[in-house]
Amino acid sequence: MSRDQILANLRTSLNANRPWLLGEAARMPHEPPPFVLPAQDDLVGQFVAEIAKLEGKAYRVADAAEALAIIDRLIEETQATSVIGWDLDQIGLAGLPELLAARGIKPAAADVRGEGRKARLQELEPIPICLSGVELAIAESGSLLLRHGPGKPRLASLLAPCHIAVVFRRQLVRGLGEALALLAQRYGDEIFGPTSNLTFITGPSRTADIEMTLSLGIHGPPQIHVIVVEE
Amino acid sequence: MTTGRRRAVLFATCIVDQLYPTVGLAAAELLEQQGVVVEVPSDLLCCGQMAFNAGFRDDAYAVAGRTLEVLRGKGDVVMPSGSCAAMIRHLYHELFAHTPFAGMAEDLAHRTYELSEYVVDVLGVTEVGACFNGRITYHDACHGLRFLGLGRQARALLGRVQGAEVVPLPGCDQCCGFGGLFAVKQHSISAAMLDRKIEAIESTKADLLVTGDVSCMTQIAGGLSRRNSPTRARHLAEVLANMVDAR
Amino acid sequence: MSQTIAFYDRVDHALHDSSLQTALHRATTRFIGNRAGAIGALCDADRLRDQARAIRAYALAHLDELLPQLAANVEARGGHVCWASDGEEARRYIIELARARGVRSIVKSKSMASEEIHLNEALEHAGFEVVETDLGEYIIQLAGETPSHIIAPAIHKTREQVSELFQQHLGMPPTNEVPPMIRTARQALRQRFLQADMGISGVNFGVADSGAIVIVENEGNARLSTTVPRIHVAIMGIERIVARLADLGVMLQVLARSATGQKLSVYTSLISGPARPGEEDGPEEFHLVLLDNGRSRILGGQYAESLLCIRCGACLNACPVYQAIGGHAYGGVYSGPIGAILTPLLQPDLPDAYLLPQASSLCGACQEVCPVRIAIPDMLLRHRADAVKAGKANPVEKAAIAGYTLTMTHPAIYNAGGKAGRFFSRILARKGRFRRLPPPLHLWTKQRDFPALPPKSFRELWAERQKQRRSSS
Repeated sequence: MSRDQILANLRTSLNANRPWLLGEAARMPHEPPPFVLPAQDDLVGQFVAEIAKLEGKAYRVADAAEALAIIDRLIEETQATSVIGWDLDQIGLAGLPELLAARGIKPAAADVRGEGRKARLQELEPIPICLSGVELAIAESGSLLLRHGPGKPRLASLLAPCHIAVVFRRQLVRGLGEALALLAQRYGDEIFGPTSNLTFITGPSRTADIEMTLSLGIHGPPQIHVIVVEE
Repeated sequence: MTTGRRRAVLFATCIVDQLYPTVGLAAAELLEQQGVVVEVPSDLLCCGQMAFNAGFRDDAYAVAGRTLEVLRGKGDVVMPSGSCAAMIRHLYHELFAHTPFAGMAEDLAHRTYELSEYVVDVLGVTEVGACFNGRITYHDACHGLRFLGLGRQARALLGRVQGAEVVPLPGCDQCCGFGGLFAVKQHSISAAMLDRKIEAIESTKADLLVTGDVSCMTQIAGGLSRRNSPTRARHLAEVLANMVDAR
Repeated sequence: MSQTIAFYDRVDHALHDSSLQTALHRATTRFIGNRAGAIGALCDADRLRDQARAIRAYALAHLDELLPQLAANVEARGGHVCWASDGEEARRYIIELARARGVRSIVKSKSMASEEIHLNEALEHAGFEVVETDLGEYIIQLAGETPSHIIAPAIHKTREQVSELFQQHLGMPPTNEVPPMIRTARQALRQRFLQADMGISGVNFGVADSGAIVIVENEGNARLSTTVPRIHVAIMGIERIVARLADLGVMLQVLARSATGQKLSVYTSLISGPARPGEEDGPEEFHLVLLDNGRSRILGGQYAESLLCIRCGACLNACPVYQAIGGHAYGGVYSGPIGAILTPLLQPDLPDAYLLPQASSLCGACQEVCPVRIAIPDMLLRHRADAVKAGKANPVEKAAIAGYTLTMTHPAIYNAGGKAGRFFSRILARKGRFRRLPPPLHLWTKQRDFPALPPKSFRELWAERQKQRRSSS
């Protein structure tokens, strides 16, 4: 009922203003630019520098072994006995399952659906580390794009105070326009097929709501560690 | 047009006519010095902005419609006010849309210029032989700045004034709080905006605050005068035509 | 702040509130600087803004097709869509849904549309526990106030005031340091998230071709609100749509930069329906409320351009009037220049909404920073014309304008009036100025002088000069 009424109103209104709006719409092509900032030679360098500006931690490493060493150190520092993570296969870092096993860590499944949702959430809450991969990363804004879905829960970049993300050099693009184009190329109409959620993450959770004072970690992770594997 | 000399109507505006005749004379001098034959139609009064901005469109239509008639077929029109020029260039379109005057309004919009714009962009002149021994700072009047894209012209002209030290005004593109009837109807907000402007002007320790609009000039001069500030507010034309008395 | 207080009283109150003045100055200066830096760094900011405008105009021109497309795609993904003609329908849908699902506790992330329909009051009245989770919104909820800025709802609050609220409501030990306040809020709100049955969010953009909604935020509260509870309800003004996913490549760039000066906001979530089979987390139910509330009508009139707005708040920060009085003085949900346009349209029942378009010096700073280049001053002028047409003009002003028009259309009256003015000026002005003028011009001379009138008008002097020239040549 309301649907029909709203659509009827819209059509009446557009009878009057559609020509003007179409004129405005035609002034410029809509295709987004692949990137919006002046290009830099070193894409990884740009990405790492952007994350640092956001008060995140970024690491350039040559190979998986160096990446594992950083993860090992972060586990040590947080004294984690568990992590909320992606399926380790989907992160794709060679040696990661062995590292966690050696540390005695069994990744906790963020399986909160169905009965006992709230109880399961309470169990996940104290876990100190989130561990994820990425779909893509954007150099000019220091952003991670996570395409969630089976084996890639949203809570694995959200719940714990420390988020570790593993990025491979091949996943890095220059700008947002390029990232969206790549998504469309990869998945066509099924970008949202097996997943209900895509999230761009650009630095640690922040707020300036009290006197414009920048504070980290009001809701999401105050710490974000992005490990860029250049192999 | 009998000779090759450029002709222009000087539309001094009602405020200049009644409150600041020297601004009108200065503008005329400036144009004549550059070889322009200046005409001042005796029955040319007001652009109608006051009524338009207050929402009284029928009144604005009457005043502006009369102005359209007076300026019909008169060639270039030059105004020592960015705000009034913006009224003609930017708002007459809406005021006269779907009326018999639409075409005339369009035509007038295309041949109306603000003074500094006319001197610099049309006549191609920045050196007008002006002198002022003292410190000058410049306030960008909003309508000229944002609806006509002005600012660079006045700065180019002031940069050539002999003996003048031109210093930047902090927040030079911030509104002074005049806004027509806004200054009276919302006088407390207007006064708060004026306070900020005066503070910025005082920080420059300038002898002259120069601007291209007498409406802003009235607001700013009123504030400076109330505070007994040593800084005086003057119109750009007065400086360029050497009509600012030394002190 | 109560809406029964007249607009002018709210203005005076704001101008005399020194902590508000400090907060406004700090916030708007920071926002302006951040925005200028972020826009200035772009390869081609003008083009990007032109593109953003074109994309939004296209979406509005096709709203009658894009909304059904968005709804169909959401439903195809297992989501539910409510078409709400007004706030009442939207509130009823959400309350009935919450009752049917046995909801007790609700977490909300920032949504101007929900403010517009006063959803919180309705939910609380219906017996639900509702918590705003954006820190700024949470602070003003504890204080029992409304947002004073689209992006930073609590900018009018000092840290001392926040500390007091947290001590009183959350048992925080006394402190004026911000970090312990942040920790206190994180802990308190985290438990609210984990125990919530329903999350309510706003929508920055609906993406028609993907059946997705986009939520932009910095804190992570919107991610938690839309991930943790069993049910997610998103409320979207029907105009907040783009046709294609690729359009976000322009819109997100201008939104973040215009709002806070960030390259991208910390979290940008694209959500399409409820969790899929095989996903471990995410909500079981997704409901999209498409809120009209007057927008379909506005689209056909002379304020249609205001529907291009993407709620970045840049015009608030740039506006010298907003800088002076802040958001609450406007009295409506939306403040600043865009609020002065939207409030009379979306909340026409507010008694002094028609005064808001008067609260502008028409300086144009708003249009200059608008990422979609909305001609805000032109629309403020149309509102003023509408108010006059509706007979709302102040009688003194009406008389003044009648006198003005008579004068400016009759040179004889104009000349006589000028002579009379100069006569009185000679008698009454002192030292070239007026310190005081009679009403209604006393409002001018309250804070500034008025120049004495010169002995002769420009046109008189010009006529004399031309006469001399003729006789000498």
